[in-house]
Amino acid sequence: MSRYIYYFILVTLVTNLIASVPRILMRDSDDGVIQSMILAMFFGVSLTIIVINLFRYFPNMTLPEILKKSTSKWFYFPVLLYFACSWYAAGLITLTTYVLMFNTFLSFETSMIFTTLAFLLIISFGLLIKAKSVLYMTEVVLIMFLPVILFLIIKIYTDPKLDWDFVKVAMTYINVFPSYKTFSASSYIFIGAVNIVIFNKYIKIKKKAGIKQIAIISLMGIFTLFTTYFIPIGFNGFEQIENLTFPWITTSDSVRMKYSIIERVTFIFVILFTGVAFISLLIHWYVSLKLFESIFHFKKLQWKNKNLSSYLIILLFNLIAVFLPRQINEFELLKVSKLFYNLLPIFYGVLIVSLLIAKRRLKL
Amino acid sequence: MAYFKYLIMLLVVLSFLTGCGFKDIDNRVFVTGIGIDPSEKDDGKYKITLKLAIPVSIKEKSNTSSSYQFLVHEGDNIGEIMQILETHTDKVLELGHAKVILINESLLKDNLKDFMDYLFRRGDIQSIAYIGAAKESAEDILRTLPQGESVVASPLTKFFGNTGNDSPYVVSVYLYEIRRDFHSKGIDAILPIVEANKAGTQLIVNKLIIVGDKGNPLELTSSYTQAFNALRNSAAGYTYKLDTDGLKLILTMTSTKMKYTIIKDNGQPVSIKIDVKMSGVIDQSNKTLLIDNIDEYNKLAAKEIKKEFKEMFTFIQEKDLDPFGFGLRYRTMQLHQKDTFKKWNNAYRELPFDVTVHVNLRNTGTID
Repeated sequence: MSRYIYYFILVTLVTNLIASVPRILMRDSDDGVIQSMILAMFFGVSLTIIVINLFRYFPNMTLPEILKKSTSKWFYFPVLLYFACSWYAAGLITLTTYVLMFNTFLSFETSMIFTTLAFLLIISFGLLIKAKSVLYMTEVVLIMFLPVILFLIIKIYTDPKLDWDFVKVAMTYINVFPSYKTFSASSYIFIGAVNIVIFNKYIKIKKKAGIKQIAIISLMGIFTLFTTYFIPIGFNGFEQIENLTFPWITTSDSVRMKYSIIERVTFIFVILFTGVAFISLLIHWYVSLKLFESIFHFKKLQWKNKNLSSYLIILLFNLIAVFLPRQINEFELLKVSKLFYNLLPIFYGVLIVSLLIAKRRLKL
Repeated sequence: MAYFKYLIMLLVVLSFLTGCGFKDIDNRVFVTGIGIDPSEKDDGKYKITLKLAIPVSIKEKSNTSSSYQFLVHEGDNIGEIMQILETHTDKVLELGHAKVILINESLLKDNLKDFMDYLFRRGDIQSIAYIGAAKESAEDILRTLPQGESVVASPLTKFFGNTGNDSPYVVSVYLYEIRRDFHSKGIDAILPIVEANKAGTQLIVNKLIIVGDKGNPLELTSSYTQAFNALRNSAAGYTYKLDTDGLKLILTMTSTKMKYTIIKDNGQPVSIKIDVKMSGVIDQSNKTLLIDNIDEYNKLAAKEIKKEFKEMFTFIQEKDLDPFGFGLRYRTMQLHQKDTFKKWNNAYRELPFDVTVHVNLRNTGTID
């Protein structure tokens, strides 16, 4: 399995570690979260492996190319449109969550629009670069940020004020039956690998993903789910945990690095995670843009040998993204995120079925 | 044409250099401490004191009081008072550096929830701010200026945490910690007590107060505070005065480790088993000490310390308080059921403590 697929998975894991997933889990902390997380682990990992192994049959092809080659327009058009919108929504949720977080904890005086624009400006440049460069950028950002993030996580784990008794109290709820909300939210953190639908063209998958890959992804997933859910409980107690808007920011604010230049861990923490979230956002929207481009190509928008369709799509992306964070409040955002996560099985279903159809049609 | 493209890019980037609406440091005034007292007048419930740091150079500093400004206002709730206080200064109140929050002791009984909501809800107040109970008046304590105080720093921040003072008598409690322990079932919140001496020149921190969900807060004496800190936080430096059979020893424990578990019988808690391991040195003695007898001293010390600890545990238990979190531990010992905690609550006051203490004295100092 190519290392880039691991990067995709890692980026999504890290981004969702502190965004809305832990909040959804904690809202239902006495409603079978642990069983949901265990189920989600199996569900997420197996689907990741299935998707990766299916793409092995189509070397150097993107999903639009595969579908266009094997199916007719009435099939591929709605499928690709659905995927494009989903990916855009995924990016939009990440963006809005991080903008809200940024404004609540880091920069109170900055207007929401300005924070959003700062994100969008760089993302828009990022959307215009080559796919290979996106891959390299992911690698560079991860190599730069992951060690520091790991250091901070270890710092948080080893804090003497982290009370493991609270974690154990949370664990005693293992006998409660799982709920769908928490199941879908915890499955969402495994979604990273599906970015392969576009990047398959540039990634070579030599071997079939087997036991070793399953083990690595599972371990990463278990660690992330454990950290995202249990550590905030260890710092903030079990009874009040559902009231925190960003449980992880509050948790990172509970750790003091007394000899560091910046004593409050929060500031470093938020900035690092924003960096990774930025990459996650870029990948999602990059995939979305390519999917949109594959179905909407306006021949009339020609200017000096250049087709302006992609510029138009990016402009639309930005307009919606500027408009949305202003209109939506935290509760609505949470509701929308929940709805989006709940649709996850459909997403996987459509993807796998269309790949299977293509495989049969192409007689691979 | 190529230049034109770069020029536009440059302009777009430059537009972000306007400062993001971020207020510069000369427009901010830093709050170093927040004090909450009951109101002295009739028109309101609380009185809030903010200690503002005013930057001065060390050379010009003639007396310490000039480097602080105090804002005081009374009102019905904290949010309201804060808004009024913002109009008492020409700059923005920057609360991100408020490291010490003092609450008047008399407010702890009923109003703790009130403050915590405001203090915690505001994203800019650190959740690692130290919190303490002020004896008599939080305002007076904030206004106390000890001689050794450095410019524009609250002396209390050096009391707490282990950077400055690391005496076993001082318990440091963060804002998030008190919120966690106060709201959780099976553990009660603690706060260190901060007092000023009569002359108002010195601060003293060597006691703690336990705040339960119901009933009056319980104040612990200094020696119990020390024992509590050694047991709960493994604080180094617990000292014990051993006085038996004409032998007078002062022992200092360099490390203390407490393990505890709840013994259950048929799902009912029947006793609390506490196992303490300490190791330390002999600081002072009225006789020549024989190194061969060190085992004997160990046993004597263990016996006496055990008695002291047991007294403390029962003293706290009688008031139906649980700062160690025995109830929390009990909750972790079985899968969640609805009546688990009720069972514990009914049983806790009657539970016997089974304390074992193991002392290991390492050396006798430079002389035998």
